[in-house]
Amino acid sequence: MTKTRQGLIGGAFGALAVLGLTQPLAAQDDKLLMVTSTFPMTSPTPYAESNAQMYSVWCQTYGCLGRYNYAAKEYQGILVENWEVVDPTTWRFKLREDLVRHDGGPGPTTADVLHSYDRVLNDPASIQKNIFSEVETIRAVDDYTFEIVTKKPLASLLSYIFDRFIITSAELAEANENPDEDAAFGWGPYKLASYMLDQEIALEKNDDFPGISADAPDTAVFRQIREAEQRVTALMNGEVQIARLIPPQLVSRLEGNDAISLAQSPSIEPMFLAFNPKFEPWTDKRVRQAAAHSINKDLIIDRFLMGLADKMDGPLGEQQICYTGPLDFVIDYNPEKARALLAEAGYENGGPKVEFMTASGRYISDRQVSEIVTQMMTEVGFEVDLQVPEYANLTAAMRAGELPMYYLGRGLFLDPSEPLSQYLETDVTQRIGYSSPELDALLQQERQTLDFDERCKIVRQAAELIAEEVPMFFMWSHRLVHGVSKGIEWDASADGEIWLSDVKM
Amino acid sequence: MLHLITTRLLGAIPVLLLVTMAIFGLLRLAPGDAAELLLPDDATEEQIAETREAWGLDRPIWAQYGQFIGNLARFDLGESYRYRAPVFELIGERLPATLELSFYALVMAIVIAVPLGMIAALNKGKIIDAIVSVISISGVSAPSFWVGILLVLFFSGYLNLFPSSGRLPYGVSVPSVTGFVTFDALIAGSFDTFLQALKYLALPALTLTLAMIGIISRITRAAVIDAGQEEHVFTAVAKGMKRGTIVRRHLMPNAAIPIVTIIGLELGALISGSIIVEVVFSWPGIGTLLFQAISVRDMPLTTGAVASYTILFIALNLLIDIFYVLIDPRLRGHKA
Repeated sequence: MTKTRQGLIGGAFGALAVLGLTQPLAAQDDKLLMVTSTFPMTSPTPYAESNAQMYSVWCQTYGCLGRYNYAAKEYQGILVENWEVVDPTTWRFKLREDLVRHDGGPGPTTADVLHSYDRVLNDPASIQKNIFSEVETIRAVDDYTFEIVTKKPLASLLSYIFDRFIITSAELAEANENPDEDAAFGWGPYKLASYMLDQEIALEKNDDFPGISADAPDTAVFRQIREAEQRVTALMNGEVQIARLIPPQLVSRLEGNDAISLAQSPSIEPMFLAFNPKFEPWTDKRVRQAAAHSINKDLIIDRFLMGLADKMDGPLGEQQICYTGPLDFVIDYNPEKARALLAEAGYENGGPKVEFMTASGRYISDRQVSEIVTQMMTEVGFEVDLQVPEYANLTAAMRAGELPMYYLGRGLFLDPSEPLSQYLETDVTQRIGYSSPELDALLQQERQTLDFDERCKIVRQAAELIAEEVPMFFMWSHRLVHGVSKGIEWDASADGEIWLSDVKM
Repeated sequence: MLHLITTRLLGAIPVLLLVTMAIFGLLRLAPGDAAELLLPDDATEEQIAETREAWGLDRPIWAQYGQFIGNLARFDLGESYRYRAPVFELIGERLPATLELSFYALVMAIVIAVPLGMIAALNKGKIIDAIVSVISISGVSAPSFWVGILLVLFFSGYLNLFPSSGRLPYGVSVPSVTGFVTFDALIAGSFDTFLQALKYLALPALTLTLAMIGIISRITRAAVIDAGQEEHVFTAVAKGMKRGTIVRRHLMPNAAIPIVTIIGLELGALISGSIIVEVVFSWPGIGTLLFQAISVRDMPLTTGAVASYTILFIALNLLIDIFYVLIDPRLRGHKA
């Protein structure tokens, strides 16, 4: 439609203009940053949600131990200034002493750390106990030093707790019956201004936070907009300045818009196919390999995902800890080899029948990708029965080990230790039902190896073994694409979260 | 009248019991539970079991349901697993938003659909009748989530007239008196806020309205045509009464009962339709709450929200019945 026609249609709404209904919708304050959020906002208690977006919000307000800097590929402290491994099961952390609480109160102390540890474990609203699954205890050394003692040597401890252990004030909890609503003061670079359930969370810059940039937004509002179309529209008409997680099919709506730029980054959520060896025919490694050989990942990425995904040859991508380059054993697209492997496994006269479960709408184009995979597997001889249950049913069945084959993603896969153990170590969970003494030994060994380089060598051995055994066939990680209004500088990171003090307006 | 109200209210009790029982049963039949779905991906089996025990999910379904009914008798719907807050409180906070959206959608639907139906009836067989038919069928056929997205793309994305989602812009608030932001804004004397609230209401309300226009206008058309076949209408025409007077005095009063009936029936569709529309437009009503609750098998909240919808539906139908009595003198004095 031309601009003239647009003007004519707009003119039809002249009456609304008279009533003042057509005032610009854009934010009036030039230091106000409106950001879309897709996750639930269900409680002002910082321990009551467990997703990356809320951890990020609470980490920036109350404060957490630190965060992972994807550009520098290292952990950086926020409330702690340094840390060290004292012995294989003891980590010592030193809190910063230059912080002031948002209400002018004292900086964080070990009393606050111990109080927060207790809340994570015992607050009735807490659903974050998992972050301390491997922790024996936390103990104070002095007012600003504390130690975390793990049950066993745990090289990946920081990935469990660093940006997920939210520190709240013991003093405010003592003085207030409902501190999360009446005294929500922390030490982070932003203060909590307001919290509206399932609507928005507003944060204000904490000018007392050391080194905070004058260019960072004065106020940031995370507004819940679940639908991707709405997020794009809200960005285009100025309701928000950063619209996160734009799916590939909507990227073209923003391309060529002079007022908007696209920020994209790799992600730490690998998408994978799981072949559960507790079910036939997945007991046979050759069948698993045949299925993997039948899938043309490049074609799907180029033609269907519009290039907005990074192909993976194993469990690790470039953004993840211990990535040491492409694997030696790679299962590439090779339908001839797939047919040969099936014939070798006894399916020369017709492929095995398999049930394949997938989600719909939980991951980018998940159902459609699964339909393509089904077609590709069918071409080499599999008889695939694709089923799309509701996501809650799918995950419940997956956790119970009832799914023979499925397509899912695993978020927060920064450090490989915990996710690989969760899916592939014998009897840790039922998710895949794979068991390999050799892999178990490697996973246990890497967890206990505190030397980083040594540990990464072991992780690589485990990754090679997984690539060859294919209980999980890693497909890609979707690129995270965000729409950003011009005039705002923000480098997207692989976790997709917005660290507000890094934003320049 | 009192008898009618008493009968309806007593009749609501078994309905409510059956509905809550069905919800409990269905949620129980579905795989997974709130503990499994709410705890993070890396929660251990022990942590899931511990949470299940803390929330009473390890008890038999009849015990859980018995406790729910016991609590309900004390006007306590329990605590939401997801929000960690009393269900009554959550529903009380969200109900006004749903009612406000439904109210505006209903008013718009009546204001648009009834005249449309009358115009179609009075021009039966003409081009205008055909146009109204096309509008009606389109409105009935198009799913709300699709219509909502189209409206957003056009009115919000293309014309930039209305916001794409939410209830008020950031930083705008109004003291709550009725819970209806538009009314509260007027009470507070803030006409600007009233207009802002109307802007946010426009697209979700229009989405719901479009779904109702079709059926209401079709029934209105049929009712007016039927009423026009009555002998007293022919008599009025024969006596040379003006067209407007005939419509006002003879057609509309007689067509009113089926129109009110269909509006009553459409209220059910309006309430259920608002669930999807609220999710699409991030409207903070019970629909959004129910969506969040179902997705994690939050039994207290799901049951509470569905019970609220049921009570709302029963109450609205009661109002419609009372309205029947008011508009039809023949029903006065009759028992319900």
